Amino acid sequence: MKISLTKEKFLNGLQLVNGVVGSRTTLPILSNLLLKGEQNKIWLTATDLELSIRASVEAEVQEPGVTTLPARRLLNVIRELPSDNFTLEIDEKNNAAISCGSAYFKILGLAADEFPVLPQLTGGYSYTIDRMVFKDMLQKTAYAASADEMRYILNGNLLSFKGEKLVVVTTDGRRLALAEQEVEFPKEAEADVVVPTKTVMELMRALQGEGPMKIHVVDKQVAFEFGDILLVSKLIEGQYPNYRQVIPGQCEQRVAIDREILLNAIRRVSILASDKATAVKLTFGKNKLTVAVSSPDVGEAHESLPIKYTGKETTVSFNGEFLMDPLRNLANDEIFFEIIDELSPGVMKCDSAFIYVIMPMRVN
Amino acid sequence: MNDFTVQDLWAKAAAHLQEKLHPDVYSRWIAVIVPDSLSGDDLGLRVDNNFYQSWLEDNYLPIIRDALAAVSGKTFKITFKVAPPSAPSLSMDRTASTDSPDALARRRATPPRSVGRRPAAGFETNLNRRYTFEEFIVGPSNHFSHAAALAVSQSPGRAYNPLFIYGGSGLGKTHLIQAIGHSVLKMNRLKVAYLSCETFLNEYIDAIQNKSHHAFRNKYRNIDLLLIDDIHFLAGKQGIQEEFFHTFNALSDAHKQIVLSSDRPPSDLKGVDERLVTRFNWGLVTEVQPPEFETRLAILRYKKEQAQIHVNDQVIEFIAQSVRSNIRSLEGALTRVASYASLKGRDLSIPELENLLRDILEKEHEKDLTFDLIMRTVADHFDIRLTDMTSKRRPQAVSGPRQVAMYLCRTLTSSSLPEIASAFGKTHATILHAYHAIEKRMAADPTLKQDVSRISHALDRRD
Repeated sequence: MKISLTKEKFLNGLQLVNGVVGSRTTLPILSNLLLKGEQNKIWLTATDLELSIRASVEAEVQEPGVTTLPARRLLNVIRELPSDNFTLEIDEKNNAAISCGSAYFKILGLAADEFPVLPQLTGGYSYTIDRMVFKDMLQKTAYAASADEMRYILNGNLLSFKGEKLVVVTTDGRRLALAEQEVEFPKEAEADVVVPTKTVMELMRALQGEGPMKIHVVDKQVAFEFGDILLVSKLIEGQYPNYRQVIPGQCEQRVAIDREILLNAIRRVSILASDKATAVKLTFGKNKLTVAVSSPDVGEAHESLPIKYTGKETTVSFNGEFLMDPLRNLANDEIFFEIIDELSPGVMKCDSAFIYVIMPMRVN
Repeated sequence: MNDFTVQDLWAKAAAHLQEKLHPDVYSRWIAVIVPDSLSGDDLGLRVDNNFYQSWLEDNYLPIIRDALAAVSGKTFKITFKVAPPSAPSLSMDRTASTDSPDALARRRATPPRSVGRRPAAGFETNLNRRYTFEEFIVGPSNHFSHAAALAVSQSPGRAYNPLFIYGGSGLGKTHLIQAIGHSVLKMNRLKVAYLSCETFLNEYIDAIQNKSHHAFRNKYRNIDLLLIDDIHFLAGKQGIQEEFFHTFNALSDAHKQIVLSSDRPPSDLKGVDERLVTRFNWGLVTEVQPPEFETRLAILRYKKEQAQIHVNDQVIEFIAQSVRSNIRSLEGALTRVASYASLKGRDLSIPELENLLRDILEKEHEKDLTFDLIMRTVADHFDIRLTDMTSKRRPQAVSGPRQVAMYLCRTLTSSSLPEIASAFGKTHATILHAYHAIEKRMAADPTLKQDVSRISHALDRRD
């Protein structure tokens, strides 16, 4: 294989697939990338057996071929190349020669036939959705997924294709995030799948550009395809809990708040939180919301913001990080906060179909 | 001691909660709870699925506890169970009066009856005469297992089949298992077989060698109560698992009782066939936990009376206080103190005791996490060398895990920064930096968070 490439494009491609390369690998081949040069492209594939990603980079392919090279090392070499154009040449022993100006690197590779074959998904159902819309849905929800191994089913995003809608849900038992979008698919394609957090993270990184994407669900696997990029991931098996029961019904008080102002206020007062679990106290008074933190061993802080509110004064405490997570990940100027009393869950909504339920903390 | 039933209690608490909580919250989360069992201070509540369980535990447990305290004046230990309803035969009341150590000690034996081999059974049971229910001291740590064992002994093959008892070594698993055997033998003429997993294995090997499969099978498939100790030894032994699987099926099809003990729950049995694990989970799985102070005290007092040892209460309390992990070392400590005291002709002072029991006390201490163990576990997890933990090398693949190890040393042990620093051959500022760095990265990187939680679990689970 012999290929001429530009540094910038190749680097972008490498960075795209590199996150998938397993950090601890028992199979040495898994820390390698599969490189396949054909026509005007070089295809890069990485896998950790749970998740595989394939992407392409434009290249001038003089001789087609295929090999695998150590991912991290290759990335480091390419990143440090002295000028923008370089050639990559692979000999029959899978040694890669990279020449760039007067710099020369020889990297030892492994034969491509040892590399796991990318799973081929056949049958099942596929759904088409705008990729930016989908990325936005993931961004609004991914942070609320549980990292607790004991509740494995919650360690991912639920994608629920039901009744002409896609609902994306995450929860960790103390909060729940949900985003909704209308999607067209036939009745028989209704399905609930849980996509592992790592896949969601890589997917969010990889999703860029305009246009539609295809989500293809087969049995215990899911494939996401857009442009030349393909991600194939295992699904988390099991029954996702009935998340609907978490979402409160009618609310008493709905307050519109400027998202950034609220986020900044919470961030400021949180400086005086003694740890991540310190409660941020929200006091809804007449046309005024007070955000306060008090930690016995550090100090206290409070800040007031103007709101339109005429209900009875209500104080309720939440985990500050949990409050800030959705505020950071939404793009809307204004959010709606719904509260009932100090023991009932708070709800955040915005113009787009998004719901965030957060359980209060009890502070004595 | 309970002047109300579990239904009454819950109805009152629910009414209290209804006042306090918003109707929506109440109907969504509280109204779905079904009161299940009440025993002493333990209240069991039942819900439909494990999501209810986890959400209630995470979010509403303190409120529910407060409500119960408000209506009853007592603080309950609440456990949520996921349906189905428990079998009614479990006689929990039997163990309900376990409040004071004295009461525990008083409930002591009619002297153990000699339950030997029964010619009628024609079966070598190998039961230790000391291990009877009368000799078993019940406390909060083991009362559930005790109640389950009693239920099984009263209606073998019907109450819980199989009964699976697990817990650390020296906590009374063997005692309970054998007590079931004694009790069943006493009441009716059933064929009882008690054996350790290893014996079972050896007999199986003999059977293979002597080509006497048939006799082996007949022996174990025609008994009424099979008690197997330390079933975790099955792990990784395919042939015997296969044999045991068929024995298990034959017995359970014939409604014969099976009781198993292990040092870990079925789901943690590595190298045991999935089909066996699911079968272990069929009946009732119960845990024996290390005894708490009161129970330890009761055990010591009971032993003291039994063996006619003369030591004063202060000594007994000291032993109960300092030997925590298992009953075997508890008894060992008492015996040692007693013999020493009788030699000296007087009671020992606390410093003397500390000196005398120092090896046991040290062992208790070792239970605490060591830096070495943390480093080893982290190195294993990330597949790097243990030497990299303390080396000066700083590639990312090594420094990341090293920081995780420092983070864990700081959070899981009570050691000071300089102590940790010297274990890693670094300065205390490095440790502090690593601690903050990991904390920050965990907030942003769920993969790292998962890694850390996985390692902590592994450290928790170690023997």
